[in-house]
Amino acid sequence: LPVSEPPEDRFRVLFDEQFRSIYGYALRRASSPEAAADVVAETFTTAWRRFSDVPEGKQARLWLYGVAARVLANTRRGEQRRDRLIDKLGALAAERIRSDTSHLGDPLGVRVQEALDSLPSRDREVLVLSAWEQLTPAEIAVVLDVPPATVRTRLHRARRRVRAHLNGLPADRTDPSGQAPRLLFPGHGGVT
Amino acid sequence: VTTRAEPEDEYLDTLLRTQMLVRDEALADWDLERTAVAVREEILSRPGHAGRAQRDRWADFSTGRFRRRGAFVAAAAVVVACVISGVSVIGRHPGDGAYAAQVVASAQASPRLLIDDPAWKVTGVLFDESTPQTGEMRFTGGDQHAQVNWYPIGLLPGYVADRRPVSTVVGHIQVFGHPAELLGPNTGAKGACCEVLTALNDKIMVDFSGPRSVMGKLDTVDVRRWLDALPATVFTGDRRDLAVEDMLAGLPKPPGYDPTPVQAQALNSDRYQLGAAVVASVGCAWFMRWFDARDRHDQVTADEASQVLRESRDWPVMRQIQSQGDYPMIFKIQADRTHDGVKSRFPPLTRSGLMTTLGCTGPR
Repeated sequence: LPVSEPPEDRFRVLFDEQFRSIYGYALRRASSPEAAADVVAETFTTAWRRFSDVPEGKQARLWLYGVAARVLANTRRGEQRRDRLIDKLGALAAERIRSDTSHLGDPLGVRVQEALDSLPSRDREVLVLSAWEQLTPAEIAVVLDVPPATVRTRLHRARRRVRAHLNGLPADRTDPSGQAPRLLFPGHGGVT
Repeated sequence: VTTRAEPEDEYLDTLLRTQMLVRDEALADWDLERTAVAVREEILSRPGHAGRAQRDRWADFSTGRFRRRGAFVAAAAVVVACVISGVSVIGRHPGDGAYAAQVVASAQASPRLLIDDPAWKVTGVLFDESTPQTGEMRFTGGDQHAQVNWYPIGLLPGYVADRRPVSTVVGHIQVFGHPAELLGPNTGAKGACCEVLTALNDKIMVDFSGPRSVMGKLDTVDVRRWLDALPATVFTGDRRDLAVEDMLAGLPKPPGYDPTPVQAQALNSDRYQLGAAVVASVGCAWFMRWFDARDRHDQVTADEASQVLRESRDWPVMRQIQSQGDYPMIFKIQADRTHDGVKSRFPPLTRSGLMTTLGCTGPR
């Protein structure tokens, strides 16, 4: 909406357009659906409090990701008050996630998760912003407030380590078929 | 869209995407609309964008969480809330020493918590008499603040699990006669050092945050002492009935409007909450008339209802409460949406949506 419109209306448009993106971002990273709901609420509360700072267009989503990242990283989030409405949002997600996540437990999924977990948090976040939120290195740089070159370096390093980790794990560790280890990424070394 | 040169990167990303707890395309199918709108409106009800802070009397108490103001707090038509502010005596005529039975019953439903320190004053109470196991109180002592929330006892393990990763046990104290861990630092209410999560009894858990000096001073008290400690103007008993009649008298009512529900509410509140309840009662009746007319394609009646709703900003009770919270603003936004000439990017008004945003409970 044009800036001549009331800020309440412009905030509603921002919220409606970006809510699910930010909620998905938070759900994929927070310790629980309830915590994710808190992150979403805090992120948009910050956006409302600093509404004049929120960029327009596509940049708004990157700005919100950046705020959400800081909310997630804020070790003070324990001070947050539970709210019945936010709890409801978290409960809705918890209910759906229970029925939607059967795919996470398959053997290959376990290996991928282990590879992700093996990464330093900064490299991991760059990698998942690329893979999950499908952001370009330039966009990730905006979210994390670091130079694009740094993002590219971290992204390259993270991908190399994940490939190596996946190749380095014997398949029989997670594959009950007992077949020989399969290199997911031929040409890349094992665990470094 | 990412820029990837190597097919291996695409394959790796595909593998990584298998580990997404929730995919955006799945999230798109979740029925989140009502809750999302409710969260959005609650955020908007908070002090935020320039110029709004002055409209929210709870700003001083803000802990970074939502205050049940605006749409939700003000939707007092469904919430029998006791919100206290100001400095006078509730539920009795000054000096007569007797509380109305209604007020006593309300106090009896509450856990009646107080900080046992004369330097600390109650500044706010919010609880729902129909769900007395949930509520909150706020206190100030000089320039310091403390807050206690209470919930059903079954939530205690979840609260402990929620705080454990981000808190440190900084000590042990006695609360309600039994030992409890003192969590800190930087948890709880604004400026607070410490937080205690503990059971009050076999039905209620308590989440108390504040300066360390008061953490061991939270206690339960009898009805009289608790009521004496509430420094608020609350409309109750005869005063409440007269106030409701006065507020109703200044409002246009739709044909068939029944004031009985709002007149019969055992609502103990300040003028803002009471006013919001009255506005919800009459305003929602007009909204329902507008919906019904639209449903039967009666444009004349729909236009008449829309006109009344859009003129609600001039209702005396609106003027009385508009400086005290955001309910009038939220009501105005919904009222404007009944006007077909107003272009809106928002979804059409729905009865259930009004229940969420204004507290309309159904046909009246």
